Amino acid sequence: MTVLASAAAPDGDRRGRAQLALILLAVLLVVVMAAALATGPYGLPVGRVLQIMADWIAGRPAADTTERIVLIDIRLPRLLLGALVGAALAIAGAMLQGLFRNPLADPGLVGVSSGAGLGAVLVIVTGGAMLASLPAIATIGALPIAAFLGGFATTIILYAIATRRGRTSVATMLLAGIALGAFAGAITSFLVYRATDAQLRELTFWTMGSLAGATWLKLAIAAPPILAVLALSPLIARGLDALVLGEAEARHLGIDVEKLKSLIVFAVAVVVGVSVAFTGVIGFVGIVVPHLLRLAIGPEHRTLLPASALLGAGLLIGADIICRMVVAPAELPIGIVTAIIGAPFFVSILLRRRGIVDL
Amino acid sequence: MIIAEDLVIRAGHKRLIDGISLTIEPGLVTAIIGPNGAGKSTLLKALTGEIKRTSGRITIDGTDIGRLPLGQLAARRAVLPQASSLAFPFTVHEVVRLGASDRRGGSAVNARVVAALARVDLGGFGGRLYQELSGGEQQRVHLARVLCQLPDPCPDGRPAFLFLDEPTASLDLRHQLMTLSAAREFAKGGGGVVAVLHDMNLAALHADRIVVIDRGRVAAEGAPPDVLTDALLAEVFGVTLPVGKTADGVPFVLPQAATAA
Repeated sequence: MTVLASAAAPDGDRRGRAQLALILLAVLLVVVMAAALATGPYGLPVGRVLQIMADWIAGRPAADTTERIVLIDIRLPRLLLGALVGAALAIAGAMLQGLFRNPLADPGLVGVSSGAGLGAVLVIVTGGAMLASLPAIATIGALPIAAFLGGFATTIILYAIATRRGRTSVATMLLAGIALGAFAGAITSFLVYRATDAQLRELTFWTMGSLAGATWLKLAIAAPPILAVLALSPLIARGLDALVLGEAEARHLGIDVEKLKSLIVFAVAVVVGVSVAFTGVIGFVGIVVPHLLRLAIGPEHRTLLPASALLGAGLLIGADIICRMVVAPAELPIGIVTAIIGAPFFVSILLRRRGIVDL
Repeated sequence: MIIAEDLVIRAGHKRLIDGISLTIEPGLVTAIIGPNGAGKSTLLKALTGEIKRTSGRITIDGTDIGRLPLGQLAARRAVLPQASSLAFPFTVHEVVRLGASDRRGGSAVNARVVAALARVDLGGFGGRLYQELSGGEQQRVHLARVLCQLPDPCPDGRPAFLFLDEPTASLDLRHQLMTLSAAREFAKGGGGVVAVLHDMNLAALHADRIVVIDRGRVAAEGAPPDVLTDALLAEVFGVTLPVGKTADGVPFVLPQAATAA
């Protein structure tokens, strides 16, 4: 990264470097994934991991049932969920920062995360008795669905406030997002205040985020929307670049700005809603990853978006390894790790770039 | 050709543009001048399709400007904004390349970017960060971007149009002249240029046609010597100022000659 950041390309065309960075990030992601599969209280060296995977993929019976369960049913879905959510949060951050033309914009800022969190807390605190009478699958499903709906509703309300006659004022949207986030946060705090001890434990876990509890079923629900947004994101790359000049300028360049803004808001609501639903609120990924990459490969979204997805996935998996190792066999909520690594790192970037990046 | 007919733009109760009919012809540089708040920028924004009109019609080669898909419109007209800061660290090369709609063009697009930068006297600036440039240099980067958007003033035999909003505002004299000569060149190639200018002398020197806007209406239009007269300066700008003429017959105005109106 430091090598990449050392100097701008002499002619100002950083695409070659960006492509190299994409390859490096993909390699990094594979390495981190392998490390994550081999890490845990139950010792499984990388060679053993590969053997079990090969047997599983080829459909051969497991040499050791426990090992297979640990790897295939516990670590693998957790790994893949972490990769998806990390990619989703990072790309959502990059898109929102492009939309708001502000490197400090974050999924949390437009209230999506707060709304999703509120949905979840509502279910935990008020829905317990109601859910107890329903089958287990409903209990598992209710929390994520509520979080998704909460995040989505917040975004729609936000959009309705900020959009007039087909035009969205970014300033209004930003301010409305802060107000909505504060409102959702206040209700959440009130509910937490009223919660029982048992509920509180679950709430803490939720508000700090965690990849624990990943299953193939959750993965199957989370993967399609997130992968769809990742796959379609290159279509809005040029629009996001043009938007940096300003809305009028982007329109002059032939971009349908109103459509672009709707697409961004929708895409962000989907990936953040799904992410919060399955892993809780995980901060700093959406803000640190795109910022770092802009310094290394430049702000062009054609490469920034896929690079953000790769680095976000790698970062979250890496953070999850730390979560599982520090207090093993117990584990830390992942939001603590991303905040502890992310916050000082982010501040140091800001201090160093203060004169150059117009905040 | 861009034709505006009975253009009215209202903001609340105020008529910013109050019935303007105007023809923008290819091959000419048209300068729009007028006192502060006369509606020059509003008129420019209407002509570029940026703001909606209350009533009236604007057509580009017979097609209503609102009906033209944005992508097609972008291939036919470009707009030079006032320089502004960018939130992200784009290089000069990357900003100029934003003008090119074909982002995958590789070496052809690169050559276009390099040529546009050379045209605005910023050769070798491609690798610099836009944010680190001076205001005047940033202004020229945008001019290069606009030239990169319309590399051909007359693509497929149909004229393209360049709209410049106070293009010389933050430039030194040398680059004021350079900017207007780039505009001249564009018109000579068959395109049309519309520039909002504050400097009457630059307008007189470089424009084929001057349109004077006052209180949302056209106060005068025509060739510079016909438009820039003592009477117009008194009536529209409220200054009593004798208009001079160079040996070539180009009118000029010297503020030193002003007497209280």
